[in-house]
Amino acid sequence: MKTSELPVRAAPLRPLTSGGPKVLAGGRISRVDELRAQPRKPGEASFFYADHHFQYDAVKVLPGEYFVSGDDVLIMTVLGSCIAACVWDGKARVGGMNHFMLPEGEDGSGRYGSYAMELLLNEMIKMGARRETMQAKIFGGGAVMAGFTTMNVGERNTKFVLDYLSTERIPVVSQDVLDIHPRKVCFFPVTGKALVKRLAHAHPEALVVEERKGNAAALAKSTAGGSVDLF
Amino acid sequence: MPLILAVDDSPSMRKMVSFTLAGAGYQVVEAVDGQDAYEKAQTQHFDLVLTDQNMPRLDGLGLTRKLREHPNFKTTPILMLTTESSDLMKQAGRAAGATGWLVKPFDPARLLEVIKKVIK
Repeated sequence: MKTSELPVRAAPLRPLTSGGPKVLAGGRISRVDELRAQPRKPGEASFFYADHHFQYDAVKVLPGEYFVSGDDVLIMTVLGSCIAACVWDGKARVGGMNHFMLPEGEDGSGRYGSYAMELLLNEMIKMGARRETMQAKIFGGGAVMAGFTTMNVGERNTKFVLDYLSTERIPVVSQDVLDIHPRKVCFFPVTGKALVKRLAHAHPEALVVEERKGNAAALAKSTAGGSVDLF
Repeated sequence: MPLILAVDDSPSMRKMVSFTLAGAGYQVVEAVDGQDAYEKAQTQHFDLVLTDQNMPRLDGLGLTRKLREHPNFKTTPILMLTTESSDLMKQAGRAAGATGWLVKPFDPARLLEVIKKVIK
């Protein structure tokens, strides 16, 4: 057979190199590379990935971080005794999530938790959301470790976030808090849709260690919190 | 008894700031945003203004500029208390006429120290 008789392939079926843009279900092009390239503020989540299960561009919020968006992305986190507040303004189509843990033995003013809340609300307001039309869903505050229950960290966190949102007059329309389970939370900031999965107790110690490592107090330090300039 | 105008759109933050200031013996008037603060400043004299930056209607920088045009507030100390920590924002604060820039979260003792330093 002469080579000229071989069937001609007009175009490769898929890009031959793996460096091309990822394609999600329905032919949508993943924007993960673009999201990664954008500059981020201190404390803003920056772990972007294409979520296979949801076929969505996603970002993982680590302890102490937050993420706010007006794009149709998935915001995800995994919680032990920490709280994730998912807040959105359906009118402005802007929403976000934080992930905080009150440090123990602090002065009790709850300023680290309220700092995490304020960062989230401020960034949303900057993107056009209004406090009056915000709604919240809260997750976490679990007593994930045996013996950890006596300290009531999850309970204190839950009480704090409920009090805070009530003071801010932001209605809590749904919640999955307390109990003993670690949780995986998926939040769609534009629509306010949230999904929570209660996880098995595989390695609760590891989760607790991770939550301790990145609490909001450390974040405050990294963002020059508490600094004073007199002009 | 020095009178302080505390401006923040977050009720939680107003509560914390008022609690801190009242505990140190200051009298506090709260305002919910820059516009509310500016209206209150028309009828009352304040010894110090402590304001957030990001607020609806009128932000902290806008409030500072407007107050500096007002004859009663030419020399009144105006402190910004905000989550904004960039040098660009601080420069804008200085240009607007702010006395100082404090980045949240605040340490109550440090806040009182700074207020004591700048208040007349």
